[in-house]
Amino acid sequence: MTNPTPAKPKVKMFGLIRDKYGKPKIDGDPNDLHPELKKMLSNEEKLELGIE
Amino acid sequence: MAITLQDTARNAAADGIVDLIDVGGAGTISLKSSASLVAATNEVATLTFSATAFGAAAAGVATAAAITSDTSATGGTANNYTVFSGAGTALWQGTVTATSGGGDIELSSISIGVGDTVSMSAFTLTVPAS
Repeated sequence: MTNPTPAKPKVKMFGLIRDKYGKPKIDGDPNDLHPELKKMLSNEEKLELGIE
Repeated sequence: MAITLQDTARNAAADGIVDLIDVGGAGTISLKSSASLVAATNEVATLTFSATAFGAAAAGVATAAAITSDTSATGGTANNYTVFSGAGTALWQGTVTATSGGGDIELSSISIGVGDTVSMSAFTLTVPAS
């Protein structure tokens, strides 16, 4: 008899880093941020970062 | 032959895992420079779950309640993470990457400075059907 293969749980989470002055720290192109991370930015920050 | 879990079983499995976080108080998630099941070892930043960390799972997906930011990170390069119960028991560990890197946790930057703030959102744990 073949043993059943258990389904492995998957985890997904998103985190925004801000420096000690509150400015977002972003590696790479800000437009490539996941939508969940974009939601954590203010409209002013998105404008400043050129996020469409 | 692999089994196929129905939603009732998927929910029970997901709830069973995430409810362990609440044992002994509010659990934590520790971002680490390299994998470790010891709380303070390789720590870059630590965030705290709500007292009831996750709501009841639906369709095999458990979604976290609010997570308290770390407003004064230890600092370092985050590559791994470990989830601890409120009693300090390591429950699981996984990978951290920058956006689109495919890690369990994707950060806007994996380079975290001393005193930086780390905020998390949209934490889900999914038990697939197969």
